[in-house]
Amino acid sequence: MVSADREIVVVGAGISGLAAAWRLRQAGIDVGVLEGGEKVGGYARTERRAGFLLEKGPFNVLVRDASFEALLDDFAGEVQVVAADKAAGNRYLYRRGELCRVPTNPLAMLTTSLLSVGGRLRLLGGLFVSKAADQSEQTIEQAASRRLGREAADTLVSAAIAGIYAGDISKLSLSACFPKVAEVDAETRSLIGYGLRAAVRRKKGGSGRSGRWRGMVNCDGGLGALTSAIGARLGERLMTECRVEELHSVDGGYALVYRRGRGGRDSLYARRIVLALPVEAASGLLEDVCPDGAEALGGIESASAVVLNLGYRREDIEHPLNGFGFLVPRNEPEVPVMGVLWADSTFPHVAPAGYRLLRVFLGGARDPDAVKRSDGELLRMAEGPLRKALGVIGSPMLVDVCRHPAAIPQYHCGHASKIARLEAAIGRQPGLSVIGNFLHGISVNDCVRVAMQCAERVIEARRHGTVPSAPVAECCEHYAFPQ
Amino acid sequence: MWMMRQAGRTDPAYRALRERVELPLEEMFRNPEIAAEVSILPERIGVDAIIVFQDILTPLEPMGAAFEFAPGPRLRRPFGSAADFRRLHSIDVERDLWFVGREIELILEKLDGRLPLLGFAGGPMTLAFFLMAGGSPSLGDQGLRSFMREDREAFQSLLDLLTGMTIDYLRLQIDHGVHAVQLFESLADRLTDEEYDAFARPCQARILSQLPTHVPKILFCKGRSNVGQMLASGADVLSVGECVDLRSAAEQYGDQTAFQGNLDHHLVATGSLEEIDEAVEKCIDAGGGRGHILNLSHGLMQHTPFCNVCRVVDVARRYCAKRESEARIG
Repeated sequence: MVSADREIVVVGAGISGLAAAWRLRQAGIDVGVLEGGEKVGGYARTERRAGFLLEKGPFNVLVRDASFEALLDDFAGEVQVVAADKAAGNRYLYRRGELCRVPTNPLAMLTTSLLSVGGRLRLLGGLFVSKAADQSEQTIEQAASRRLGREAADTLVSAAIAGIYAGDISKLSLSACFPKVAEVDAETRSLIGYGLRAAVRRKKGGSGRSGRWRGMVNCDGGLGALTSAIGARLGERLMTECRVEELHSVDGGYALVYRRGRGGRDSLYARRIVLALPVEAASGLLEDVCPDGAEALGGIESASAVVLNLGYRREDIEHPLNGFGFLVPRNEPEVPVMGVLWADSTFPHVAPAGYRLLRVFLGGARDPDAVKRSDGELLRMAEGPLRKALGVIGSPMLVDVCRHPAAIPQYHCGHASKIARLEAAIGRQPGLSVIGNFLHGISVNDCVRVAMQCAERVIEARRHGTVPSAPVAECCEHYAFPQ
Repeated sequence: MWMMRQAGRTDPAYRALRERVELPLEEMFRNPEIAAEVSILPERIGVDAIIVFQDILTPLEPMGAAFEFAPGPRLRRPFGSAADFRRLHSIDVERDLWFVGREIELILEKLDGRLPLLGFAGGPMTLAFFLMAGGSPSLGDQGLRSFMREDREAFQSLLDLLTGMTIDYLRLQIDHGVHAVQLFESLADRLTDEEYDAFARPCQARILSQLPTHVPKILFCKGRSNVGQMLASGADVLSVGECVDLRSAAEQYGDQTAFQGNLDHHLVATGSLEEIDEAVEKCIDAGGGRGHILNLSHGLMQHTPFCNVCRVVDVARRYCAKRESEARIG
């Protein structure tokens, strides 16, 4: 057996890879990280320009479990957590050139001008009855139409899903995207009854985590401050501009062939590998070591998205921007944006005094070619709706265009079975793990949770002298690490 | 530019493939699909030619001398005495070495015209050394020497048998489509000038003269520095080691032959990236940029870091492009 250069190599320094590497490092494990790009963070990167804090990818993290809180705690010295302003509770929908507040409770829903009278009556009916007729996997559109009616699905649901997945509700799987909602849908007749019971449960006690960071958060230096801080603590263990091109199973471990920046190729040996890459890249690297896993991932589509960070003078926007922002339903086909966040209303520190920062989302399933459009074209597409809905006059003072081709994996029907196939295939390959936003949720919190769980499994397996998820007897002869 | 033993242990992909197929080396040679897959691995690092993945000892097996690799070559049934060589017999290459023909077809299919393919065979003297020693002759060649001296006639008939086979074997490869061939006299450094002239050169000359003229023929004589002597074999290209001063050889013989070589393979194994860069650039300069195939003095060593192998290719490409653009401007 060759001597391994590193015990574990994490491939990819996005939030998933960083979180896993950090947890492994904390446990005293000899871990290395190879990142193909110049910078760490993957999509979670922030740029500071002219007093603005420009998030390149995700803008806010909805803290939902202890894994992300633990990460924030570990870096509390370097990164100050910022909670979202209360105003973020106000959300709007773009409806025929105007903004309508999204009702936040069932009663308000019945009086909303977002839906016609017929639509509201249908909604009222659906709130009381109609479990799923059969047990087969449903699209979000099917479930929403049955529960809430066609109109509500087209309007409220399509907009909300564009805001999260940039996807198509007629293809996305309810159970894969929202497992808890799917459970409720399958078990509950009346949504109103469920809502009341849930409210009582919430009053009685929390969800088990410390709850210091409820709701949405960001950091004083943006999410990029967190990813940079993790990268900095990993120090020389993290190598950027090292794009892994091949992964091979060699001598009871793994060989990586990677390319250094503009320089030559090199190889590295490790006992274990954690792949933390976008789905397409992960599939490509698995081809040699785990062809079944590569094939399972090969069928997963990803939506492209464009984020425009637009800085305006305060006086150039008529609307008070008293909320989180607005989303655009799919039945507004003449509006080419998916949504607009009023960034500094949620996190005031992202814009300098006297200025406002709007984040416009384009692309997704509605406009797959958006990433190929020129900056000028993208700006023109955004300006129409901004003028109409927010009374924006003049041009932005600052324009930052972030194109993300094939960035958001789409959990279409059949996704869960693909992931099950992947995980079964990976389980047969001792020492290999795969993490990322295509497994069990696309949010930053989901990625961190999956990464931390993976790291814990590796630590546990190592403690027992085995590799994760493979039969013990098979592994012992190859793996006997000094403790 | 290509490197002798470019598909081998230095490449992690090769090692992974070997583990995956779980076959002894000699079985991999006999499996055309696997051998073809191995052959084309170096394409991805940017070499200019692919060489058929085989061993020079492959054709000896059907002749009655089966080698296994453990990991160095070892005769399954060593020859007890010179008289034993009578048990070797001539072969029908199409029947007995069909897998090499098939391998070539598969490689050409996979390459789809992107790179040329080289065939090869061992020089008869080199094969005789291996047969006599029953493995790598590094331990000594007393047996062969006494055989050569004491039973000249029997030794000559062994060489004739090997020469005939080699002609058929290279023709087989050419018939299946290789674009050039190389004759490996890998033990040429053990021969005195007299021995080379008496045994090695006549065999080489016979082989090379019996091959179609349109196929370029490369002669590799390890560790030999007498260019004129090697040229007498009739080769189109001489593959020379660092014992030959490439610059003066190219000046003297450049109109008669092309040269291949002669990067120090030890330096590629142990040198720093900067040392490799310097050596590659020097070698390209010495070759004069024309009629020169960049290669090593000898095959890649097993423990050569993969990054060094890739570095040779990358630097050579960059440096040649630089030379070309300078020539255009100048």
